Amino acid sequence: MILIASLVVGLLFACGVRMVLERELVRVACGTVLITNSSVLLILAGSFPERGEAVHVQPGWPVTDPVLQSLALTAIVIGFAVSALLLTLVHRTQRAHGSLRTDRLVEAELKRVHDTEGERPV
Amino acid sequence: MPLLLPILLALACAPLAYVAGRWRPGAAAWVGASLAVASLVALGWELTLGPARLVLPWAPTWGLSLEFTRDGLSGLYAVMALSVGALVVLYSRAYLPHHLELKHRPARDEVRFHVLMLSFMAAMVLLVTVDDLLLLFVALDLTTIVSYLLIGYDRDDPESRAAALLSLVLTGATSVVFFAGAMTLGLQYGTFSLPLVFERAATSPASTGALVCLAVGALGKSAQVPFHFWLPRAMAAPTPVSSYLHSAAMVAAGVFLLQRLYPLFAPAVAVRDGLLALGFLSMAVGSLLALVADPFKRVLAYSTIAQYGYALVLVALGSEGAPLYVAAHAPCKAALFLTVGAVTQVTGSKKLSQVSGLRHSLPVLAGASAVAAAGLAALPLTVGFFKDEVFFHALVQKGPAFMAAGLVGAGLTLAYTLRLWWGLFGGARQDVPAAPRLLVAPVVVLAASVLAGGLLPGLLVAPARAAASASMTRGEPATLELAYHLDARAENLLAMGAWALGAVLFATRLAWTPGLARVLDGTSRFGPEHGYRLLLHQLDRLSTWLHELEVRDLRDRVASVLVPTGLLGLTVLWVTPLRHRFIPGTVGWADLTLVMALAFASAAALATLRARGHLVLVMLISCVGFSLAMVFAFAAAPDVALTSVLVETTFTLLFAGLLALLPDRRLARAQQEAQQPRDRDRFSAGIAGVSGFLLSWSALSHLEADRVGTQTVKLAEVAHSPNVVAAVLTDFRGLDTVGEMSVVVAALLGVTSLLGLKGKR
Repeated sequence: MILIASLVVGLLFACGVRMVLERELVRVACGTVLITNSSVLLILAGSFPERGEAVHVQPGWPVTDPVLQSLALTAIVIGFAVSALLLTLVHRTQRAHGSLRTDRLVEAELKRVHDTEGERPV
Repeated sequence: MPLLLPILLALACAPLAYVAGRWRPGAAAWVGASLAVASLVALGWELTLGPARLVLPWAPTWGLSLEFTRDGLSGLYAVMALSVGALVVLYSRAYLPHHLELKHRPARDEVRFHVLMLSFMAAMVLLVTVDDLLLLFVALDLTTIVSYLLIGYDRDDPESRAAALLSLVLTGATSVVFFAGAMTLGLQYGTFSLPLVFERAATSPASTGALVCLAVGALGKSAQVPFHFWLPRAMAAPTPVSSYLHSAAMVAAGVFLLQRLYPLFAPAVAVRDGLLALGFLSMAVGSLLALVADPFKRVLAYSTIAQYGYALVLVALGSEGAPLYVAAHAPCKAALFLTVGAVTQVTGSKKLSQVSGLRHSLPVLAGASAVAAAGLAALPLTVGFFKDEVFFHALVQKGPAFMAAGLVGAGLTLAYTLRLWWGLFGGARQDVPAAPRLLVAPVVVLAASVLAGGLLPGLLVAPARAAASASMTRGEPATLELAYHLDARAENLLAMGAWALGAVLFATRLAWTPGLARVLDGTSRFGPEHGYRLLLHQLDRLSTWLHELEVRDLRDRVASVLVPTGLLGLTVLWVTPLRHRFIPGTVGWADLTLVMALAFASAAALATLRARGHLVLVMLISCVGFSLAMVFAFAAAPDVALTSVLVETTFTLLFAGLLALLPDRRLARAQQEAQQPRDRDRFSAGIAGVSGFLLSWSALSHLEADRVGTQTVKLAEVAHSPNVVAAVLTDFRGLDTVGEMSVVVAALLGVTSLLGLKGKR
């Protein structure tokens, strides 16, 4: 079970990184979502091997680790908030630069630096 | 806390001078100098009270405290720093306006200079007074930083900026090495307090590595071979800076460190032999370069390297005269620097070949600087005579080879000193306007002190002995004797030989100077300065290359963080000695649902890579999220599963909304261009994935059997909460939840404000 869980964590992380390395901002945002998912899974995977019942616990029965669950909850909520902010940023960037491609953004940034500094070529 | 009075007064100089300078620029120097004199008086009063220590607790739980000492060594160096400092600040009052006018800078910039000089003086006083390895390092770095600002004072001049950078890089890098040595000692002895370190070093000697590190820091500061080349370059600074930092203060700091830490070096004969060799080498290199250099300040800079070579030899030999040597050298060298500064101001030239015969126009300056030069060249009736006497005395005990080396060194000193003085004041008459009085007075005062020390050597014995017993003799009373002996003892014979050699060298200088200049010019191409330049150039190229690489593509920027981190993680796993590193775990029939949900999530994640349309992509991403929610549900985490479903639903709607906001045309174009994955992206993703997989596998294989969770379940009953997770979130980790809430609120505020902004379409 440990092996399977960590394999899935690794796979989600790799897919996330692969998406983040794309040239297009929507996919970059998707990649960060995947990475968030992989880390939530990693936190909760700690309780997979010895999980018990969660509701209506009789005294003495095995219980799932509640600390890991609360950590995962925090991670999910924060991940959601940050992803939402990221998506809005994607939208803003598209409006400001008229493009969804990262290389265009770099060009625009270099041009701006070039214009403000004037004499120093970048 | 009477011990702190001189330090506090010295620290108050710079701020008060600044305040006075805001009122009237000319007042800054006077206020600063008078406070320095006040501090000097306080120090003199302190020194009459005898040795003392002061320990102020700083971080007692870590065993850190601020420790100060008042002993002979700190007294000698502090008097030197304060008195020369006060004189140089007064001199700058006359020097700076002219200098600023030449550089086309406003006159109020003068205040900045005085403030920096006085800050440097305070840092120096702090350095010599602290009695703790860490504070020693802090004070050392303070002097480095202020000296960087002072050398680069003419900030419009690229040459002085480069010189400032060189001195910062070199003395800063070597002081980091010093820090490494100090930390090693601190760990070895369990304390940074110097008396305790010395006490413990008496039973278990310090490691050679630590001592070498400490010595490197000191050598860098004292501009000894192979770090000597920063000092001549630093002559780009205004002359008062050279006079103070590069004769009496900063360069002295290195030798001071060695003297302060001498009890550690005393048993390490191999390290001291290395220092001895470097001292003689610096003497030779400095003296020879001083014999051919043309700019006055360079002659003096090379002479400083050579003179601190002498001091290094004395420390390496464990001579009691080492502190006296530095103290006797300082007024002579400072006076000569101030002299050449005055000469440059009245003549406008900086080279020996451009001036001559100034004795007619500047008689007072010529006389005073003759005394200082005689002091530097160790002629009798000056304090300099005794610095060479202790030097010869130490060499006589080592043997004839050392005596010969000392004789040649002293002869070369006399030769270059004569060459400098004669070059300035001797020869064909040249008429120049008279120098301002304030430029000459400090030289006269310094020369008078040089003469007084030479005429009344008895005055020097007590401070020299006190300094020696605080450092070189490790607490034993020193037996240093200073007197003129009119007999044929070895020291006297060596001194006579040196004068004869120097006179001969000076008389025949026209014959050998061109040849020597050619040889030195040829060898300088292979010196450490060339290596430094090469290193700087290559580092510059590397940085440009990396910058280009990073900026050209944002993807590489991300990958350049992820790939090294992944490799680092793998390396950590590789080198960490863990038993049963990886446990595959067991899979039973009960886990079937869990495994299926995980497989579903993986399949969806893989499919996102191939997704063509944006809508499909969003659907796949939310599919991953919902599959994970399923996983959480099967893993007996209902709260997490519920939250996850809720969050995924909202997120999918949000994402779909974003797609509706983005123009279709652009989406379609971006999509076509996005489908060009590069091999190195796959590679980066592979590294990241493998590293993430192995790290999480290793982490999950080493879960503690005794969980916090079992405790938490019991505590939840006390908290009267049937839901343990809710108890954890709202009670046990309530502060974390507040933090989480603030992140969510901040993100939402960001979202609303970004969506509300009106931007160009």
